[in-house]
Amino acid sequence: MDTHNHFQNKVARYSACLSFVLFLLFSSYISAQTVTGTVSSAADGMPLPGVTVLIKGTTSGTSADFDGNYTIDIPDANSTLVFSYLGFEAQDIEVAGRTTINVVMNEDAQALDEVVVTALGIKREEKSLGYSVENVAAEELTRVAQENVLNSLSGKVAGVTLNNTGGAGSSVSMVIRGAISLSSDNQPLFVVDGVPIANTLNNIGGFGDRNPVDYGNAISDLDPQSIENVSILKGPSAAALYGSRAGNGVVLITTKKAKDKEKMKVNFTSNTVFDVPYRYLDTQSQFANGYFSFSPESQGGSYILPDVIPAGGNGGPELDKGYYAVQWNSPLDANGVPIPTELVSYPDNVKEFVQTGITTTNSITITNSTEALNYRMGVTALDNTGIIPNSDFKRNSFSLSASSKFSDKLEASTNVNVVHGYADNRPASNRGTNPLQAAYSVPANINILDVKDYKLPGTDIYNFSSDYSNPWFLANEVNNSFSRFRVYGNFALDWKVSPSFNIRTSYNLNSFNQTQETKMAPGYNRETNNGTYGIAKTDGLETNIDLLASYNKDLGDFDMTISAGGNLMYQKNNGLINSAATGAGLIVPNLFTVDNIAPATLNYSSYTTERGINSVYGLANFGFKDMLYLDVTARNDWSSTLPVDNRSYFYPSASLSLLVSELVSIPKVDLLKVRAGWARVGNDTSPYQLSSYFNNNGQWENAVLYSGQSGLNTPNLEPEEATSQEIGIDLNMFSNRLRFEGTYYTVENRNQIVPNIPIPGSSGYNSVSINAGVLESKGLELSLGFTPVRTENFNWDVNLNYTTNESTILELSDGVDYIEFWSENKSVSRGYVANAATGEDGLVGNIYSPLIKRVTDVNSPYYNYPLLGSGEDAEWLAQDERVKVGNYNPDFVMGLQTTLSYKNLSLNLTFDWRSGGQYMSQTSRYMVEDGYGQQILNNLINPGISEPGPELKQWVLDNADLLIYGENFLSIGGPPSNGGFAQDLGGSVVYDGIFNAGVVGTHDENGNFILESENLGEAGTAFIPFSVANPWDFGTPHMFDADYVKLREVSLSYDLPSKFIERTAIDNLSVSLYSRNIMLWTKDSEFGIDPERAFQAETSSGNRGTQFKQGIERYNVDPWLVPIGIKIGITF
Amino acid sequence: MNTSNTKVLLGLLVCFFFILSSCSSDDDTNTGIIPFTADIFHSVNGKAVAFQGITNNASSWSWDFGDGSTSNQKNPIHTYTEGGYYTAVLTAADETGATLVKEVELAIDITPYVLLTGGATAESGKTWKLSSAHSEGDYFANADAELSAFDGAPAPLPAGIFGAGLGMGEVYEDEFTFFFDGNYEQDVKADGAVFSGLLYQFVTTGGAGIVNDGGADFGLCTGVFTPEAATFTYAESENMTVSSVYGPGGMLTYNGVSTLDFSGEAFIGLKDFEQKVIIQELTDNTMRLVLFLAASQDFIGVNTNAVILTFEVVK
Repeated sequence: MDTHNHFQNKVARYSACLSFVLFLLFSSYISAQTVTGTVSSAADGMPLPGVTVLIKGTTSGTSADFDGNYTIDIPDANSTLVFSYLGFEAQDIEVAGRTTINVVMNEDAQALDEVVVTALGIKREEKSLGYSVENVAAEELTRVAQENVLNSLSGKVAGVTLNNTGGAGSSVSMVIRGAISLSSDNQPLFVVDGVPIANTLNNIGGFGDRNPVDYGNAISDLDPQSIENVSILKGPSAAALYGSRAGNGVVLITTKKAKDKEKMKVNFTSNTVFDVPYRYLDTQSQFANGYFSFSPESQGGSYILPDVIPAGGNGGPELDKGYYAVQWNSPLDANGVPIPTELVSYPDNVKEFVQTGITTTNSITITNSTEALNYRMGVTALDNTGIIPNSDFKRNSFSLSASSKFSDKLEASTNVNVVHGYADNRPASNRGTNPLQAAYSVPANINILDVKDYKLPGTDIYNFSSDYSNPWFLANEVNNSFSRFRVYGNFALDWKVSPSFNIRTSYNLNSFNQTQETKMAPGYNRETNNGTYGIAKTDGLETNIDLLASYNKDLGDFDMTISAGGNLMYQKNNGLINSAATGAGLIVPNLFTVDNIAPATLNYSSYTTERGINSVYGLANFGFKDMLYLDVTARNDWSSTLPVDNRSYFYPSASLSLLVSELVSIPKVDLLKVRAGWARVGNDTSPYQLSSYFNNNGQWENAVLYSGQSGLNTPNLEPEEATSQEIGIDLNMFSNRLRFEGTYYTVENRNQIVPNIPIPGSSGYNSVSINAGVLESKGLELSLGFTPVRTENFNWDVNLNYTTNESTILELSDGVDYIEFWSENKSVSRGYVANAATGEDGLVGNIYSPLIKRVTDVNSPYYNYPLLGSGEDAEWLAQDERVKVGNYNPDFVMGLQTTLSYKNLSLNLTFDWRSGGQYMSQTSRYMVEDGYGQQILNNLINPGISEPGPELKQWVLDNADLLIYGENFLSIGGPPSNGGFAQDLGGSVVYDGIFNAGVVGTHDENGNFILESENLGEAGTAFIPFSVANPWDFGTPHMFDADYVKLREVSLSYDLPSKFIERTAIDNLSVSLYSRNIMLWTKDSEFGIDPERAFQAETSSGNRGTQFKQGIERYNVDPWLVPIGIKIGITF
Repeated sequence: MNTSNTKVLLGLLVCFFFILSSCSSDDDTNTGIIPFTADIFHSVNGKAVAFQGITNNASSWSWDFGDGSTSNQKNPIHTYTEGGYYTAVLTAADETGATLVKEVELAIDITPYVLLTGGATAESGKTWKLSSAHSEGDYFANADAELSAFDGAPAPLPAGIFGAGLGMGEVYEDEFTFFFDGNYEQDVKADGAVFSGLLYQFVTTGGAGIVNDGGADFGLCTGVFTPEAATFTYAESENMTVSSVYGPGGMLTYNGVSTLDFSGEAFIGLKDFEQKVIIQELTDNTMRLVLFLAASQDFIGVNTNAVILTFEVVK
């Protein structure tokens, strides 16, 4: 400790000397008097290093040292000193003959001069902006550890939608102000310290049949610990300077750097989070595997029932009733015959399968600044063990940022980040090799632990049935590993040519090298030839060379800044992919090399793409009397991916900000600002979309087949063009204890690039990409903050934000009736053109599904009765037409953040409320169809009448609204113990029958209904086993409301009081406990899907490129978690 | 907010301020009371019979094997010294002293022909029908030498599959009676139709005979059939040659199999081009047969598949 203090003092003295020397250099006269003192902060009494001390009316001055001490020589005893520091109110103090002046600085209550990072990294006073920029500071990002920085934004930022596939290392989708592009994945451009990082969602990989794996997109490589600030340029007005890359908004990330004149600091942070699973899908564990629910009643009183062997259906005998049957693992008697064993339930199979996930993140950073060099270096290690057995993710990040002043005028800075993300196994999602799907498919009468030791001699897998996958096998023997190195950083020179003119140039680089491998042992039922193997190596590189010159001039009432610059962007991607063809497998098992794939079934390919955009841009800001500001920007892009004749595009913007509160003084009002902006930005297309080319299509005898593409490329594509307008108002009152910000925007997106529009086969192609359509988005973003309590010891802050957005299709091209986003679950999500005549609302996100087919003859006594199939197919028939049944977009999203602090203790809560919108669950559809889902039982109604007849029919008619006229899909009857009707199986009778209320018949050519039979409960009603009750032909039984409230973050942190640590070398020690992403309420999720994860991560086809299919999910069903985290931070 | 969410919230608070404890909400457990029951499960191998006392809440078991021998084990094995028909009786007692008595009739070391026909004294013969419960050995096979499982169908066949799955539940009703004197009778029941190959019906009736085509996806249907007086032939072990798309020259031979053949148009189980069947297993109460099916339009009349089905005695 002593040595440390000694070192500190030495540095302090050195620095003081240096200041003094510098002061001498600047001074043009010999001092008359020396003033010394300490500057401290009023908020916490801590010394403030770096405060500027100027002699009023001169350019002479000094700054406070590390410990807040300053020494200044003044020309005469009546001088006035000006103390100023960013974020604090400047003070003028007359020396009045004193030699010691200690100053307490007050934080700038106005906070009006809050500086935000805007396009191209230019720092601006927020008040001068005519558009909305959202800032999230470091403490908000790291208070609760998140593996991905984007997850920290949930609930805190208006106008942003986030989705992720699951645990650590997975891709996160971020959509700003709604999806405005119909063809792209709508991901914003990320710019980290000036380095553009594209964050597309195309890293879904995995080899083998149905083995989709999310390897995480680019932004998952960022280390949240190193981030100082995230600035979200939501609208085109804010982002216009990024031109054709700004179509989906821009997220500027600034990393932490050493501050001038900050003493050396070592910071150590350790986070450990336990992800404790607590809620699983709502499955039934009441019935064994099987289609018929046999019972002693059906077996002449015997408790020995027919064999229960896994073969589809889960409406078999009731469990835990003392029933016996030969089961999959029945022991053999002395004659080698399987013995019936008791049918008991294992309700906790999935719980037994998953484990508590553990993520630890440790980081050390060192910051230091000397006169010559400011630097920060850091290392962060993240180690995650997933909740799925044998799943992991690791990420090691190294960062170095440094800046050095060669002279007063020239500063060089660099920052370099190296990230290594890797995993031995990322579990597959969706369906196929997804271990959770297999775990949920273990019938309730089978103990999942019985097949945990799955290895048999040779390559056989011990399992309860060859038709089912063993979840333990999938988790342990289907290994999807990856390793990705990402290097990004830049080198920049800042030249202050004169106080008003400065030039900045930078070289920015972002590159990655990724290897993905799938090693699949024999045992997966879709890869039956010794498993499979595949390896993909992909490299990406993007370089940007920027030059920006700025000139500012203060002309009394007027001030202006004019900047001009240019950018050369170059991207290159290449890849090499080798794998066994789907189903072809390996020559020998468990040898995972390309050589072990038979040559005829080796899939091999490589690719290289290049792309460049050259740009020039300029911006001008004009200010008048600090109350009226005008911004004008312009950019011209020349994109290599567009045709020569129309590759040049111009993107202008203008915005205006008026500070009404400067114009007229309004009581209690600290700030009243109105603003308006207009901008046009773009979205170009991927490389090589213009002319057609041939592909290798394999061997034909000894010749290589070359074939054209099925899609016709388009030589005259234009970039998408988004034009936006936004207006807003900012109001701060009562010394900023009440803060309001509101923005209304419209974006009109023209020339949508729509791929895969079908064309006649006679053209030689199946489809074409075209520019088509007009899409309009409108939205409102509100945020409201207030501070009900602000005292010395106690502080309470509340911040609310509200977002609503609606995107409407106004036009599509001739011959294009709709854009299809997905077709799943007997339903489609399509965008049609808004048309009052057809009643089509044109909204993006609409879901269309069939309703029950009904009697349409108004004269029939059965008018509006459901039409059923006959006999054993006495199930509801579906209409041919689909109607709008929902929309996957929310009505609004609201976030609430509150901070309560008392002395050194603070409690932070972030809530997130989504209202409106629907999603469809294919998991529910599959699991209810197979009888696993509890819904199959929930949709059965026991009439309390056991025999068909007039009494039963009357009961049905009495409940007609529910059973006949409603779209409720309720079946009448149940299992043997709860209202099951007798079903004659020919010889034996099973008491598990149900029926659906309706009629069988047809309509004649005049629309008259001709009844064949009633199915209303009288004799002749068709009974079917409850195990097949799920209405497979419909999507709506598995559609849910997506409303939810989540406790996004909760943390309780404690800073150790300084009196305990001041005698040590430790500057600061804090401990916090936290949790995150806890579902508090869902409107409609009895099944247990997290509505936030209602999307399918797929490399999809259709009218859309790679994307997350919104509003539909398939086995995206990690259990709900209660994470428990602890964070310790120490600064020396 | 539902109760489990409330529980979770409370759980969270507990976790947060105290220790890492279990925060899970348990599923509802079924707490129905299981009554005192007793049933007998047994298997026969020659003269050795393995008995299982399948009981709930019993505390003692008493067996009378019907040949003067007894046992107090729960799962005894008994070897009869003489062949014949026996009745074994299980008396189970629970802790209160209440007893349940169950018995099972055994045919020990009876010739297969007697198992099939009920013997010379059974004046009305022995009547069999398709078992809707099926058994572990029932499946839809390819007509190859190994009778390998056909990919597109569940193996084993789930109980009631032809009814619930294919909508042809009536095939479980038809009855087949074997007489000791070699006569054979069929009862096609109310629908006047029998389980049949779809292609066979098209070839022989042009499709007119098809009554219920619910099993069309598997080449199965029901077709009109009028039984006539017939006889059957039983062979305990022979080499049976049938047409098969899997055999060389379109024929395959199954060596050393028990078979049943019929006169005229008579058949058992499935009406198709091939009326001779293989007996895989025959007990006093059940028999499992291999019924051949020619389902390919490209090889009319040549067997492509086999349906392996269990029949049970109609009492």
